[in-house]
Amino acid sequence: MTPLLDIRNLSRDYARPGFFGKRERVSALRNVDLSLQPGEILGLVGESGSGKSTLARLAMALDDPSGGEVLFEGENLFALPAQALRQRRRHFQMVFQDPFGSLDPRHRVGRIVAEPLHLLSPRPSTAEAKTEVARILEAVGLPQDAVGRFPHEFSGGQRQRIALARALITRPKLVVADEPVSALDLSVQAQVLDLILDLNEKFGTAFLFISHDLDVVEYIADRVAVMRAGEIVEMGPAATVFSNPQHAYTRSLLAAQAVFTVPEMQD
Amino acid sequence: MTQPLVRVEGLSIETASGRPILRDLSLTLGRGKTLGLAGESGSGKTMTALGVIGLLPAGLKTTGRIVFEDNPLPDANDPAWDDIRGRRIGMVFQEPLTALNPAMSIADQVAEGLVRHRGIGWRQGRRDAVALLDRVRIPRAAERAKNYPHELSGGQRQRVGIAIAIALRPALLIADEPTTALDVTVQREILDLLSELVRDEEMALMLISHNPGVLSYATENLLVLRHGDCVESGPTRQVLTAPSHAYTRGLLEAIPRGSHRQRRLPMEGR
Repeated sequence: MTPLLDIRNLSRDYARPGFFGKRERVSALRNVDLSLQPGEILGLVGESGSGKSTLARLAMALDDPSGGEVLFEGENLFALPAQALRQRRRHFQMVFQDPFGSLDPRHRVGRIVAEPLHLLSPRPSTAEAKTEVARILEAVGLPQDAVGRFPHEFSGGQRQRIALARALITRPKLVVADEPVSALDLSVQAQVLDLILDLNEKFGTAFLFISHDLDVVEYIADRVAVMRAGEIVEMGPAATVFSNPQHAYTRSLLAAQAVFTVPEMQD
Repeated sequence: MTQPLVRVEGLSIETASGRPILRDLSLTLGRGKTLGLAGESGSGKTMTALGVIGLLPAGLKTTGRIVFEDNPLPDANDPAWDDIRGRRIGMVFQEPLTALNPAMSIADQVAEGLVRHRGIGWRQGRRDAVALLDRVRIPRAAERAKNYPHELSGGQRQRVGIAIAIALRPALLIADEPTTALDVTVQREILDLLSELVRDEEMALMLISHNPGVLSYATENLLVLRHGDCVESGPTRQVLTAPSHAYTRGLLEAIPRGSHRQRRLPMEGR
């Protein structure tokens, strides 16, 4: 089966000013291979600066790589003409960590959620757009009257539902979610995680789920990739990686997290 | 019997329009002890801390009292606070980058309080600052002392924040989400440092966190807040393993443990 997303030998360097006006090359991503099957939830874990977000931006073709390719349904996104890339964008969407910063505070939720519909061709009519907005608001568990309200009127968890509605309105095959629950309270985090699982099941949307929280990734992911310093050091089924980690770095991350394990409640 | 270091008695805080932020909170914290304040956003945990350090936003109505080192804490804006805040009570914030001055070397920021309160000169202040930076395990403290905050990692910045907070050897350290923005390995190092200071300096620690794992690791006693009410308190382990209140139980059930294929998290809204 052709993978939905096939990242091959992907690298990204950045230039950074060095001493005496020389520019140093800093490698944010080194020769990364990663693939995602349709409908799969792949967890990407790593500490800050490991390159997770760089990888996310490249997978969404929001940035150009220094080398390598990103194949979406077999097509290299970086080889596509701009118009063709634009037409593909309806199939891959993104959700960010900060539900405050990623929603335009001046626009009503109806407009925010409908925004990606301009990627469709033919472009839906106003009536069709309304129907789609209503459909997706229901799917993410938001009330229909949300369309007329502004982002600041919603709690953090509800704002993340708005962000998911916007990402899913074009019926994408892939959603890249970069730390989507990191800013949320525990009970709200649980609700958003379960919403993602429901949406994955209902629409068959694949998720590239990025998080620094190993417990969250173990909960949600089918497979997991562990990043360190721009490289993937270990990848496999979540059940295997978490119960039998092969790489010393994965083991050290799990050991660090284990310190913060809350003792189980007695019944 | 010796008096506890901090005694909060019936503290209530409400907005000018009468919306309650904190209702009738009482707690005690002994010298050299650690107390965790748990709760989600809007629970009142940060307001409790700001009340204890006299930094509540203007316009709030406060009733009840806080006794610290056997004396009631003064009203906000009372000049008596200058002898308490920073000297007897130190505070560490979540985001050290916003709490630190970007235009001042870290040695000068640590030295500032010493120079102001101890009547020593800047030269001596900077020497003491280097010792403090070493104390909080900034590697090569003498060299790093000349650095500015942006030149340090997140974990090192938080160490500087702690050095500033403990410079005048306070009896109480309040840490509000001190490790929330940090990677898990760095979180542990920072919490170990705080625990060590509590032990060696006989400092009491009030640790505020939304993360039960952090509170489990670093506190002896725990108080759970919800919408301004204390729903329960007790020894941390007991509260976490045998919570008496349904809210605490629900919160703990929301912690992911293992794959969703084994156990789905509860969905009910709270």
